[in-house]
Amino acid sequence: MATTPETLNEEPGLVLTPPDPVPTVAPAKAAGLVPVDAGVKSQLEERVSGFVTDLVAQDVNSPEFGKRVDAITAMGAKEIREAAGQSNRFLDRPVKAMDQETGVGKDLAELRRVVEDLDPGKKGNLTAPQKLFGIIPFGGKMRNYFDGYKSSQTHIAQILKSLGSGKDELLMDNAAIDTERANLWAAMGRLEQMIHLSKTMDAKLEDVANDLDHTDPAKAKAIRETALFYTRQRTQDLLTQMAVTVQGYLALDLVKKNNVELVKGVDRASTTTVSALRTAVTVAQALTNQKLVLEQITALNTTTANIIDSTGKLLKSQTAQIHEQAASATIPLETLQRAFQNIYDTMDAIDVFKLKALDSMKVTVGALSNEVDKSRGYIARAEGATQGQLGGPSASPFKLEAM
Amino acid sequence: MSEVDDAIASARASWSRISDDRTGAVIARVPSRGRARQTQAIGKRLTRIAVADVSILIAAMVIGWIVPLGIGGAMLVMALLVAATVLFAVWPAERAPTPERLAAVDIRALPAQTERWLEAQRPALPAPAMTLVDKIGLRLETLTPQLATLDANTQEAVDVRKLIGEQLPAFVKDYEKVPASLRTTPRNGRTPDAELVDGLKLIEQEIGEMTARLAQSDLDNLSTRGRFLEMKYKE
Repeated sequence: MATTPETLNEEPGLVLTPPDPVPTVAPAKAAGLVPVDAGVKSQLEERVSGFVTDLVAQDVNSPEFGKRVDAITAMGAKEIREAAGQSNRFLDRPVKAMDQETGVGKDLAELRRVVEDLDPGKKGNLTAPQKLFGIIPFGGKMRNYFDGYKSSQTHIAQILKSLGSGKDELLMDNAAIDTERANLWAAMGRLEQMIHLSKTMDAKLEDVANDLDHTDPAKAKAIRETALFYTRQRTQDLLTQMAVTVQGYLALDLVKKNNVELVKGVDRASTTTVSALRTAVTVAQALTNQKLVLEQITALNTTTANIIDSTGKLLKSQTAQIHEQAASATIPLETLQRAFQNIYDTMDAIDVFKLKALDSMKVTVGALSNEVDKSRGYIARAEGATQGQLGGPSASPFKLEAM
Repeated sequence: MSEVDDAIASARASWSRISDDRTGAVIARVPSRGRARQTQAIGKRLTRIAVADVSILIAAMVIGWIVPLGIGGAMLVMALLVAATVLFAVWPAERAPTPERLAAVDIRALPAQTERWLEAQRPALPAPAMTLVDKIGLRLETLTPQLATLDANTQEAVDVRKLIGEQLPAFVKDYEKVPASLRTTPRNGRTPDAELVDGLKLIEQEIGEMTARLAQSDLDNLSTRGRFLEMKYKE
């Protein structure tokens, strides 16, 4: 192999890097990841001070006071419900991505089988003359070998086509992830607003209660025991949901990165295969003077070049080189061998990538389902609060929700 | 909103109904909705009458080929024609569905039935509730095509049924049970009329949110495919 022209090794080795698993996001650190506009912030703060002033003005035992406390209990319920509704959906996706038995994985395995059948390295000494019963010279081993291409070309073309549509599926998956992430981002923005509102409320209520300690201790106690207590509870709920949502958001990014790497792999597998087949055509001509006509593959050249736009150029320049080398080199069979090695390298890279990616995916899904389970309790509480609110058909004039 | 605001809003609405601009197009459908349904009902009735009459005539012709009908037969056919026409003109009487029937009706037909029921309640409702009834009617119309492909067992379908099949009729019924003289008397600071309006407002908002929720997956699909096209052909 040492004499193999270096030009063929020119293309950089395929390196597919699996993204790292998504770590667990602690609720305490979940806030502040999505920026809240300063204008919105001050608006929310205004809303809170209005609410608190109003609350303090009410008599502690009046139904009006109760109504306002109810508003605190229901605070952010809508935002939590909305974000939680998506948490189930983003758990599905990584699990689906881990499924190896369908789509691209299956096509690649099939391609490997076909390629192995054609591998010149596995055919023994092709240049040795073939002999009938080991004595009488009969036909050419080389000629038989290249005939193998003709019979498998339809199959290969099919696999490549199917890889192309598999790639489309991966792209579609990524497009769906983009949409989902956009939705999640919006949901996180609203959660963030609610967290800000809830924390401001906490501080304001605390101040008010401290002030009232001297003038009206009963009211201070009532505010601490109802309004402030529920506010703290809601803050915790919101932070928990935020943590889960952030984690899901990051997990989706992981799936997307995996898909992007896989698309690269599929591209490279297609290019190397087509390139090997082209090499075979030229080598066949050089060695046996046999005109190997691979119609399916020729037809594929154009489509593949379109599918693999990024690598298409590489393919084109390569073809010219292969042609030159195969025609002039003294060892065209080794050129072919090298082309096959390229396919194997690509597939091995994909396999290694998949194994690693699977690991980080498993870790991510494990952490995510843990957090989702934990947050379920909070969501149930939020749901309960909403139900209670819907029970009375009164349009609450002091609704606490995100902008 | 105060009553003055309401009055201004309704005046704006009627102005845009009269004027021919595009923003008025949606609102302009409000008064015509009842009429459109009436036209539809009359059309249905006329079709029934035509079908009945034509089938009587065909039957008479077929029988006439085998046994001559004679004068008596001709009179009988005419009598039958008149009877069928009168029958189908009067029967089946168009009646708004009862709340009990609303609870059992198929989810796809529910918005239309609820709308009819709500229209029938109009006379019993106070003036400020009228615009809300119109708005709810519009919302229900938007909801109808969305429910066409919805499985009746999904959570969304159950939510829709609960709101427009149970809560809305029950709420309006509760209001109607309050004696007319007490409806304008404040109780605990609010009149029953105001409570009705507030509740209807909430229901109207919630139906709007349901529409948004049901449209969510369609919106997602649209932007996903758009993004896919971008990824595949642009980048």
